[in-house]
Amino acid sequence: MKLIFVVILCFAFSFGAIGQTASNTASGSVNIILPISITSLGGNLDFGEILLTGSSTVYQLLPAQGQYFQIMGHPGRSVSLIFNQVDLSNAIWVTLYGGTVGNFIFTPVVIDSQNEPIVSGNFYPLINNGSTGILDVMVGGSISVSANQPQGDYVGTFTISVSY
Amino acid sequence: MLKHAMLACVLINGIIFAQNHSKTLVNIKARLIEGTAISIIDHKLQPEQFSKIAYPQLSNYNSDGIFVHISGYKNNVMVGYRYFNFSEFDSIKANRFEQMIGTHSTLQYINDQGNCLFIYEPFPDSESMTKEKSHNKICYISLVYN
Repeated sequence: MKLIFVVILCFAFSFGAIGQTASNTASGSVNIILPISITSLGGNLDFGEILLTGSSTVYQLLPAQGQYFQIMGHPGRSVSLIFNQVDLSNAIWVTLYGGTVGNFIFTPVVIDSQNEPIVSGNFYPLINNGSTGILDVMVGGSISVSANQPQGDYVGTFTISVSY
Repeated sequence: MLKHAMLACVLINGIIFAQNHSKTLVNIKARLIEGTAISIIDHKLQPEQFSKIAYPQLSNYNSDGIFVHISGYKNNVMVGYRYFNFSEFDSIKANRFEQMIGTHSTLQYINDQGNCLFIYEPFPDSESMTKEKSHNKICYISLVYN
């Protein structure tokens, strides 16, 4: 919005200057790209209640059962998605209830609406939808619980960012 | 002079991105529950496949159901299961022992003396709950920590 204002300001100054200086001419073009946004469409990344069994286990949350996002921007433009592994900890729970602090890693799995994998750092085109470009993605992932993992509520924050 | 600067600005920035970056956050949650507070002291169903175990894990039971005699508490009980290395997250939480849980399991309370008989019957009644899968499930039974 601020940049659009600057552009308008540029032209306003240009037109204002015409009355003062008649000898200078110039031509230029500018493409204004729609702002990009990513919003949650619902779902969650909640693995629910997991019973510790004394053996290491990988638990998987399928993307279709996870969190849904929609990316909106300029139709036809490609966007880069960035996301990383997340460290989950039960430190807050231990502070409240006692016990041993533990950690484990959440490894995200991101796919698009066609079930094609999305790789962090790669570019993907926004699909034309009228005057807007859209890319829907779903996020799931897996956690690896170790054999001696302490009990408690493990939390972490998954961040996904998009850019042109 | 100012006009020249503005024109240069427009020419150099041939493409202007109104906003070229956006991000969002979502919380990840997982509740890990100790399952060793329960001892299974009796069970019935193809006994040769099961051994008495100190922790609540039964494996390779078939879809006829599991009869498990558990003692030592009067509290909520959760029955969860997984197959292969992947858990199913529609774990069952019974607020009362006399509760029909889900569409494929039954949990029954026998007495209030601290001894309970749980009948866990995984009825394969959906495409995602095939009989083949149920044969490969591992059943966990544990206290729910409130």
